[in-house]
Amino acid sequence: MKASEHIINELISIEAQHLLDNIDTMPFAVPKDYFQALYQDIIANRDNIDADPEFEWRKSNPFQTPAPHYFDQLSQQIIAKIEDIGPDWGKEMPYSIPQQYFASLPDKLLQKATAQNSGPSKTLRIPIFRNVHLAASIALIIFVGFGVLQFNKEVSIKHLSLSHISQDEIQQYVNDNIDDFDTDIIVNSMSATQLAPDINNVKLNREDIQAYLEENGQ
Amino acid sequence: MVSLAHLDDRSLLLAFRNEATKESAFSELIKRYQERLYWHIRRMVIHHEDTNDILQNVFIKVWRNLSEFREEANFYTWLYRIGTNETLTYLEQQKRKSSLSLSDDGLDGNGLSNKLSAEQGYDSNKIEWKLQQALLQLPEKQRIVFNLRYYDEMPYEKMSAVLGTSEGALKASYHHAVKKIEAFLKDN
Repeated sequence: MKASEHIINELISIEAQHLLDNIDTMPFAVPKDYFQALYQDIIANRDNIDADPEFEWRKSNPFQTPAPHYFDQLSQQIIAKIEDIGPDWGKEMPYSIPQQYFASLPDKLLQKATAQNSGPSKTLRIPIFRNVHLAASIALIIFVGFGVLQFNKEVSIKHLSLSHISQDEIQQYVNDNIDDFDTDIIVNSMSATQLAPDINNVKLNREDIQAYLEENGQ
Repeated sequence: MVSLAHLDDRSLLLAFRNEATKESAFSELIKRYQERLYWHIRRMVIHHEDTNDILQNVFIKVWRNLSEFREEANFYTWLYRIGTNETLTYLEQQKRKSSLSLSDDGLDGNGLSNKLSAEQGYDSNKIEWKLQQALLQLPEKQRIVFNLRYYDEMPYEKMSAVLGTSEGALKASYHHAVKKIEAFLKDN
């Protein structure tokens, strides 16, 4: 068979002289009448395989299954097992609970509730606790007030500091710690135009394209 | 057996779904594609016996799955895809086997260089054998691209359907393959 013109033209454009010179050569030998007999061979092979479903396995698999009809019964065995286990299979928790916990729980809760509803229990109040409550309240107000002041101060310091850091320093920090940045965070903090730059302005040289194709073009 | 040689692929596939003409249709499909597929596989695995095993597996898979195949127009593509997958699987198995054995299987890692030099009529000084040596230097997928284009003259569009790769990537791959082969032939 002669090579088509477009194949030859393509080789000329790539300047592949050796391939042009040898375009119709094939050195491999095929046994005599191989193609005449091939159909019969395939049919014979197919019949062998169809007659013995394990034939193909035995060709490359040295292991034996435990019973001659292992695979025929397997699906039934699995289904039987699933039915034994029930629909909650895989949902059991590893934690233990006291015996009869759930059986006795409603009664216990009810008991507690009725005891609280039967009226306020008499509590002995010692005057000293009144002073403790007062002292604790004052301490809490002072503590919260101090915390709010500190927090506002820190925020303003941070705000002030960031405005004084140069673009180069920020870029350097990002480059050094790029692994700490989550893609979602980066995407959420960029505008649509930053995310989809104009493809015509992306500078790629021939080597970049070639390297990309070498890596992904097979 | 009735001869269905006059039918096109689409009609043959319909005939395959009819029990009365199933075997005749299958026979005709084998006859129609056996040589093209044989050479597609042979160029990849070199050895005739290996090719024969793979080819038979391919057609047996076709026999088993053809009844469910509904894209009649793409039968040729489907057949080549099965052939390519079977071939790549075989080469992968060979690689794994040779990595476990202590034998020297040559630089390609699956013994193809040795198989090539054991071929009947092999002569390392003849250009046609040198070309086959050059092909063995290529990565497997690039070799398939080269073979489909150079030997089978398959259009990139069809190749894209067979290999599931874009036409642009296939053109680039073929271009690189040609360059590498030319460089090899120039140096050897």
